[in-house]
Amino acid sequence: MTKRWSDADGIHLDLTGLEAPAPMLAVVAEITTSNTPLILHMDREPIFFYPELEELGWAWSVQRAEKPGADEAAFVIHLQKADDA
Amino acid sequence: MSKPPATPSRAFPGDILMGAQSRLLPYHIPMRFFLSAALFQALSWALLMAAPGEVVSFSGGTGPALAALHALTLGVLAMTVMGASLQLLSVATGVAMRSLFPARLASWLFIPGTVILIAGMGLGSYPFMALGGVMVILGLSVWSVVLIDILWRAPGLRVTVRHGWWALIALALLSAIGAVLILDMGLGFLPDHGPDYGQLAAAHAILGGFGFVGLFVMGFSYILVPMFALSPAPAEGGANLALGLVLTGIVLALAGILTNLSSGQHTLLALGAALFGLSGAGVHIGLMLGALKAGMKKRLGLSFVAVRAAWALLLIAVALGASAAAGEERWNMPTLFAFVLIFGWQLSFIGGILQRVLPFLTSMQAHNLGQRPPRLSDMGHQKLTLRLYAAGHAGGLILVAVGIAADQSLLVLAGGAFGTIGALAFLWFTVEIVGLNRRLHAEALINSAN
Repeated sequence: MTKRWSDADGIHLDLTGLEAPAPMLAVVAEITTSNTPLILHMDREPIFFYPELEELGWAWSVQRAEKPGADEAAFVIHLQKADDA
Repeated sequence: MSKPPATPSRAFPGDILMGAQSRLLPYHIPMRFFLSAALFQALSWALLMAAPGEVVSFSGGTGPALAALHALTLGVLAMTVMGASLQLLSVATGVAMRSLFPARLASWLFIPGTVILIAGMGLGSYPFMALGGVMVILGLSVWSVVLIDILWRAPGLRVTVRHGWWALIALALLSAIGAVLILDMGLGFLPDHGPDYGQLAAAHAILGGFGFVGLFVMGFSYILVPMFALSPAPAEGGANLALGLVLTGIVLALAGILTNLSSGQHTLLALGAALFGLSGAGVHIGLMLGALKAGMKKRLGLSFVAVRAAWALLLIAVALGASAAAGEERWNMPTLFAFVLIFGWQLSFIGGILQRVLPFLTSMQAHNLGQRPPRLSDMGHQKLTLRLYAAGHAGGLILVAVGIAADQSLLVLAGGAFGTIGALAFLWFTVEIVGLNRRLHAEALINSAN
């Protein structure tokens, strides 16, 4: 189940615990309806998704937690429309 | 709810963290398999042209037809499965390979082994076949160990992993039978010991076509088709049902082939195998069409025209197989079945999927190196190469199939020519993609040196 909340830096999606392709679908659903920056919290780096993001005109940066805590995602991906990057 | 930020390691835009976390292999490991597969594809069509009269009524024995068949099954299908599984399963499951050496070793054994084996089959040379066979089986064994390690540790993707296990079981049986068939060519021991050469060859074909390659194709489809179409993964229950039906069909087919039953019992088993096989294929194709229909991406291009055609050819192949097993000999039915199964379903499917996978992997590699790649559709001269490939492949399939059915070797010759032109276009496309990977890698090295 995707958890979604808004913060000052954009819309956050907690995609931990989801199996592919569910995280990708949740993100595509967001970015096809809005250009608001997204912050994704994920268990794994979404390597498969990068070419698709590139095609859709979005840029990203990755933060990785070396030793994530119990309520911390291993990867936090910041997405924003490439024109705004 | 707000999660604390992770340890910053900024790279913007598109500069992705390197290392084991990415689970991306060096580009040259999967690409050596894909480039070899493109070369063998051209060779297999060209070998059909070398002996078109032998192709129309092929019933075993060494020569260009056997070499063409194995150039395709080992050189293209198994080669692609090896390259794709090493890269895609690591990324999709999140399980990093413990070491790259076994993957390299598998390629060093399997690629030259396939060349030697096919040369031996074409020339009728037993020493070449024996040496090539040993190298191929060793290469597949090393690759299997790598894959078993990934499948064993995979935390998710249960459906694909389950297909992988069954495909590996089929590969073990298929390899054992293949080794026996090669040994029999040199030692001639089979007629006095259990099932004869023809029965084992048929079992080898079923285990290879529907077992090893077929099950891997089905399993990978549950990852790749939703990924390209941007659709939810098909329901696990449906995928398990399709798998169970196909496995039952394979077991019934093997029972019919390997046991010496009466003609009526034999026909009954063949029909049962076909019924289960068709039902399983139907459920699988239904799930795939459902995924495409639900997908957010509707325009999937020429590659998915090939994939859809491949699914239709799968159903036709199963029906032709049942007809051949039930004793139908008109239209060179056993040969027609093998051609539609391997060149039709499997080669069309793999060709269609590789058209998308190769640019996709290149893009992932570029991002991993901190490079900005061309758009997926702008890599190489795809508008020319892939259209030429589609036209040549379709023309080759139709002409060779009609040539086999009508016993017309000239049509097989013409079809072989069409197929070869298409395969050369695909080779051109693959060479461009590999070249792009090399360039991106070289540029990244220069950038890091500066």
